[in-house]
Amino acid sequence: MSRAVVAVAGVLGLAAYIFIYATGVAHPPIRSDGFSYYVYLPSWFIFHDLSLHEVARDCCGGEFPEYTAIIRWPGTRRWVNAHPIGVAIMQAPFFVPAHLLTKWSNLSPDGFSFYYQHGAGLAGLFWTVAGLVALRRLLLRQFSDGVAAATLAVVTFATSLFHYGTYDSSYSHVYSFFLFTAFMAQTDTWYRGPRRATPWLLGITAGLIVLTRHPNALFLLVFPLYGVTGGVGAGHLIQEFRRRVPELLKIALAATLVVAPQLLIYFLATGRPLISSYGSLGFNFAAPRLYDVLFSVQKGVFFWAPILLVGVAGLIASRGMARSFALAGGLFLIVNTYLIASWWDWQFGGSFGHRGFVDSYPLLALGVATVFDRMARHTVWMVAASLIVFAAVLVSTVQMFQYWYHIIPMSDTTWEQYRAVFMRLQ
Amino acid sequence: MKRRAAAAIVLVMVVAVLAWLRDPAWLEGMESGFGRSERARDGIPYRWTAGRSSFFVAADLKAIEIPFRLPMQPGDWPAVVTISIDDRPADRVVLSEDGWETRRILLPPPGSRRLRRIDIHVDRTRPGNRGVMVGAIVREH
Repeated sequence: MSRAVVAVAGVLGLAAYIFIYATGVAHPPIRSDGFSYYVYLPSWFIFHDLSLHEVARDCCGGEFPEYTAIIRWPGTRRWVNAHPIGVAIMQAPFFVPAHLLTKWSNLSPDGFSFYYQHGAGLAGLFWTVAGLVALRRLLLRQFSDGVAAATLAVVTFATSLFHYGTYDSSYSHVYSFFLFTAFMAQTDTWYRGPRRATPWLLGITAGLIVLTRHPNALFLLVFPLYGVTGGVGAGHLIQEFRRRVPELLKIALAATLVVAPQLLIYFLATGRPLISSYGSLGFNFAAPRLYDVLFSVQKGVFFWAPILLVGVAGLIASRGMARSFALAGGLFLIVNTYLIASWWDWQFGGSFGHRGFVDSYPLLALGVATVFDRMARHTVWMVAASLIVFAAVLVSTVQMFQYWYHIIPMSDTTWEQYRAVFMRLQ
Repeated sequence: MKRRAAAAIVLVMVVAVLAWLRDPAWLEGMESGFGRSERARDGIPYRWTAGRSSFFVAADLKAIEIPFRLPMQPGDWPAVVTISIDDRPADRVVLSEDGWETRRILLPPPGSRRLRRIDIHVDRTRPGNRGVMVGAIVREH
């Protein structure tokens, strides 16, 4: 059944994607943040340029538009992109055929014409489905097929995931969703016993996580803290690390090699390998908007996807493999929430729900599965769970359509606005 | 045997799709890098280009006429607009004064495709990645 849920998600995702762009609901996929995540590809492959100078000259009269968050670095005047290269690397397998098709069909080989746009857009959908495939496999290590199916349905359709896999698929979030899931699965595999490929995969995935969104480096804590639920777990872990030093070195080597090109790009642009790529934009750690990012009607993650509260509760009450991720996952969720709440634009601009939390869905999925697993043991509770799933999916889907058609504002939604249009599609 | 047959069918389909995509008719309505249609103070309809904009015309056209305009404020730099046909530069215009300037561009004889791609590239843009204003394009048979 869980396999069918993933297949349905993929088919519906493709149908929604075609609908969005065939009917003009959204502008072409490479837009807003999606532009800056993607812009490396035309720069590297078409203009053979690491500096972004040539692509700026070709696409934009020499200066990137303000919305792109690509700034000229003070002192060197070279371009620095606030968004790192990870998404572009994962889009590259779609860029190459798009470029070849563009040349073949005589479209403009500028990196932004029809095939490039949909290569980038469909890459996001591909990694969303890949993330669901990986999440299904992870869930089946502990939970039944039915529980995995219900969890996948909820994570896909009762949160912002489907929106970010289709409408805003060029943003980084679904890429992180896949990478987090893969990293959790590889971490669990590593602790089950030595395998030749696992350290390399862990290193590559860790590197890509950092390259996709730098603050997500915090998520790498799930590896060293896997299975730690108290002092005993920590002691056992230290012994495990001492015993497997060569594997740890392989992980570190692979991660370093993956991250190195980004450091080189920063160095060439600024003279320093480590910088704050957002320039003057920054955090307000003294006054985090914690309530707002969690519960507000404006962008509260639990307001727009209340099913995720079940995930938090489930993570606390988890057992088995899910429990092994609980401490590190919980730490990550707390610190990540604090970071998001402290960011100068705590709403993250226009977004459906709070997009800053989409990356964390694999962790919360384990919590949701834990709760569904308990409920599945009693018929009455199972019926209740089914109703919860149905209601959560229905409300979230209607709200997603409302967002697509601008019935719900892109940001700063008020309670009056929300109440006035609740479950209305016109 | 079944696998070979399936592979052969897939191969034939890929070749057919590629053959169709080499010169598809739907490209005629395809364009990129243009803003929405607006109307100037003189009543002339126009659209802003981005830094680069493209559209397609029938390959058997004799020429096309493209009206350009760039509103200038004191201190603004002139803009150099390059028009290319299938990636070959065909004309260049320097816009240094406000006012419409129409360029007539002769098209080369038809090649192996039904359509030709016209690219308009602007060397500097205004805020919002606005290049130049382009009026109604005239197609000459």
